[in-house]
Amino acid sequence: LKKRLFLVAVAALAPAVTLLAYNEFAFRRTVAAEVNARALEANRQAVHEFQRILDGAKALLIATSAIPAIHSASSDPASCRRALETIVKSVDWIRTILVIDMSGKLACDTLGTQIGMNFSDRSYFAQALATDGFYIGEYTTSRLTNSGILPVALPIHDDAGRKVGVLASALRLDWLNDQLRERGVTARGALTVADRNGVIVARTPSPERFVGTRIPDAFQHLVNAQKEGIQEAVSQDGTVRILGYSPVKSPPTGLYISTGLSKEEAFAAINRQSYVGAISIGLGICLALIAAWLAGGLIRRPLDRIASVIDDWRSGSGQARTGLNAEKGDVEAVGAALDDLLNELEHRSAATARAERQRDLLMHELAHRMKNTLAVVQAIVSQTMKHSGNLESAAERISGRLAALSSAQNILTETSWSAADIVHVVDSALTPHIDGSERVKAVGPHAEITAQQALGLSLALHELATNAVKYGALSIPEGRVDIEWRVGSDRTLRFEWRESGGPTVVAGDRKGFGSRLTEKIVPSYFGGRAGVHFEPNGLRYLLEGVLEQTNNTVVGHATKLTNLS
Amino acid sequence: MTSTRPITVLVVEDEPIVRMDAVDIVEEAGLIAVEAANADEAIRILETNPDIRIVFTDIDMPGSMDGIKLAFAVRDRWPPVVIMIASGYRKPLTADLPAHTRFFAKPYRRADIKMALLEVY
Repeated sequence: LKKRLFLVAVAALAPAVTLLAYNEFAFRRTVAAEVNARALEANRQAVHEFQRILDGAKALLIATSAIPAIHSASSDPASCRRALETIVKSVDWIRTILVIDMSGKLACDTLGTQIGMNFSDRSYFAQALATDGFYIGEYTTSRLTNSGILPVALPIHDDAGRKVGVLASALRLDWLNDQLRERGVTARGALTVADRNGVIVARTPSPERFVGTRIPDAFQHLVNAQKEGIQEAVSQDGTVRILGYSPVKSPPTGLYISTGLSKEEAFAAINRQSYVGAISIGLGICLALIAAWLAGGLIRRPLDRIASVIDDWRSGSGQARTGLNAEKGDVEAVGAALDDLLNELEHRSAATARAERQRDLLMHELAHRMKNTLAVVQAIVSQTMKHSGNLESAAERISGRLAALSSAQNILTETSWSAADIVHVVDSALTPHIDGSERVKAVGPHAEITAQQALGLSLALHELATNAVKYGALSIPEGRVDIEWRVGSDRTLRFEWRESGGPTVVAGDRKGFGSRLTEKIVPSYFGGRAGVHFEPNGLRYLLEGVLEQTNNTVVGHATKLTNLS
Repeated sequence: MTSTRPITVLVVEDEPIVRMDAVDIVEEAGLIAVEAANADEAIRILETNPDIRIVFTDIDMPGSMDGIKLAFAVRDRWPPVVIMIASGYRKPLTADLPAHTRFFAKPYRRADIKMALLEVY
């Protein structure tokens, strides 16, 4: 996941980075074009300035050539010399002016050089005559001063326009270089001037190092180019420069001029900008990747948690929960929802399990009660059989007793076997014997009695009623029965059956299971005692005991069942 | 097992009619019957009556113990006493009953109980 988030981050950043990179590239290209233009422009400026200097030299020579004393130099060297001296004294950028005749011999100068000295080997002499115009010569070391000079020459014409000689002078390179130094160049820039042979005549900075040296061969093609141009080059001083150059062929003809702008300086601003940009991009990428990593952690951790909870849950650990807080994020919300779902599932499965268990318990309980009831039936049947004289009376008694048992169970079924109202039990037990009779009156409070006690009381009433109908008060129309019971605050029960108005009965008439039931078995349901008394008015039955505390017997049995299994 | 003293059977059953019938079975077998309505009462009787050789008990009874716990208590405190259990519930696993315990499903046949009682001696 982290890897994927990384890729997503990279994919998201890629266009931005590409755009930035393209902007940078385009901007650099623009700047480069600007720098080139600036270099070319700066060089044109330099060319222009040089042109002025040379124009000055040319003008000076033209003006000088017009002086009559120059024309008559051969005949009157002294006048010529004076004239020249006047000029040279007032112009500091030349040291002398020479007048050379057509044969190349010196006619006059300001330095007192030997008249007649041959200058015909000088290129400026020949070229000035050949081009019949102002000619710029090549770097020369002065024979007189041993310092660098740049010769210039102009043919002299007589009044008829015929060439009669050459007027020559030379720019002092020390002066020229001073001019350049004063003019100055851009920071770490350079201005180089060379003659048509590529020998440097002026340079700034460091003229002392370069003047008189030849421009390296690698750059000679610039010197001899057809027209001005721009070139990036590593200069001899090691600086990378953008050169604007004007070749020898361009005016001023005979000079190569180049102006170099330091590339580093020119690109300093944009480089700084690029640097800042690159750092920004780098930082951005780092931050994005860190964010992706952190986000990966933030998302992955809860996802891992959710996955492990699902695994745990599937492998049976119903308690597994993510414990994530929905308010902390989307993924956490999913975790919280999963928790809710698991809680609900657990709740439902617990409810289902409870219901199933309850149903099982009820089934078991029902089977158990049925068997207990059958055990009771069995006991009643076997006891009745044992104490009956013949099968006929046994059958009758058994069916009567089972009817009593059944009526007690009816009541209990209606109340879910938990408890019954004693009023209801008494009424139900008497109904088969004295249905609607005014002669039987039952008085007593409502009270809950347990299933077992209800059964016991029903059996007792059945026996008493059966006997009363057969032999007692209910055997004649005048007899009656009063039933009365009281329940104490401590749930003690006093239950009395009192017959009156019937025939006289004696103890001897009562034998067998019936009396055993009423006098021995039934009281044991109530943890008490009971007795039958034969009084003058009739039979009296008194049962004394305690009503058991009723509770939910289903749950009670269920608990025991759980313990059993 | 010979004894001059009468063989006594303790019948433990909370349902009075069924208890009375069980007592009848014991007596019909020629043995002496003693009754208890629950396990607590049964323990008290065992503590005072050394003649009891057989305990014939129900399982589901009110009180602090049911018939199973009573059976374990008897096997623990009165090891020679023979234990017979009757219940309307399913027969517990043998492992859940004390050793040498006979189980009878309710309702039981009187003859089976009588036979079992007589087999003991």
